Amino acid sequence: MAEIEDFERAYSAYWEKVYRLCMGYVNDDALARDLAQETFILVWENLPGFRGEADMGTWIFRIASNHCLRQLENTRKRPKTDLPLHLPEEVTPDRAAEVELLYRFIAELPETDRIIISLELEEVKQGEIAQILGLSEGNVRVRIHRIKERLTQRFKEYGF
Amino acid sequence: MDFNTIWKARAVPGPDTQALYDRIKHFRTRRLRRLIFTNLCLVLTSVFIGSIGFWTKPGRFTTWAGIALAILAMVIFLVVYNRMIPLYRSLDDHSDSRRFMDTLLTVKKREAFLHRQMMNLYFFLLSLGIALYMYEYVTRMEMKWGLVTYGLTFLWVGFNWWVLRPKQIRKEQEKINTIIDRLREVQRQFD
Repeated sequence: MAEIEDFERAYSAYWEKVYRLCMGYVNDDALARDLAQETFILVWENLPGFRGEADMGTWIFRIASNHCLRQLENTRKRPKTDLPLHLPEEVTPDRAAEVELLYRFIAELPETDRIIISLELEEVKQGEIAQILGLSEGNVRVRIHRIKERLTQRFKEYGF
Repeated sequence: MDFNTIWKARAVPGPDTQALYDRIKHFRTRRLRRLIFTNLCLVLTSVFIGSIGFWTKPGRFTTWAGIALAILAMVIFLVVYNRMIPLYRSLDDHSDSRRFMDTLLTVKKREAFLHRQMMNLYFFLLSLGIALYMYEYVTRMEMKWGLVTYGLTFLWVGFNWWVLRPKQIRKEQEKINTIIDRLREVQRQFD
């Protein structure tokens, strides 16, 4: 019973973050929702083995990142879910364009860079990002800097 | 540019606990059903082959050996297929991504190897099994019909061995190799 409560608490707390991470990886709403849901299925299945040796957030992000990377195994295009997404309205039209471009530019990056920048934008500490991916903190710092430069450049090309 | 603010301005669908639990249930049932189906198919085929032996009461050793080899082919297929499942269990979903990718690559290579070996062995045992099984019945035929029967059988076995088997192996290997190449490419991103 306590396990279900723990799970539901983690689900509510991390759903949005995991969804955005998946969205940064695939830039497709329906697919991102599928990936995020599947991540939480894995969280559910792995929860009995979680002994708190890592922070719950780091642990969930690891599962999410690995699940996104497993998309490399899919040689066929996944059928899209026909369920409605019920997305809330965007804030303003200007911001909507920026949001769309940002996610599109991120999805164009190499796979690991997509994960790194998504975690950085979720305000995960660089040390934790390094732990999630198995990279050194220095490497993560350098890569974040390069990715942000690249994103700024891409926005400039679109007149922002 | 304030990327953090833009990033968080993305519309996100709300969490749906019921849909998630439904999906967990669906995943489990589907996984179990697939496992049962493959095993059941091969077990039933083996039972069918075995019952031929039981009902026709062959007199020669070669016929029994043929039946045994065909069943053995099915059993090997079954064992290897079931051994591929624990391979995926070795994947630790919550290990760091670099280690996860290394394990995934090892698993894929192992899967490619197992599949190739299994297909070779499966076709070999099945062909040999058919050839041995028929011997008793062919010896009861006239020489001419015996030759025709074995001729046709060898044609069929040859078609299986030189056309179907390589095609099956190539198709699966191409699929696995594409994945292995992609995994290697991403693995390089960790260096």
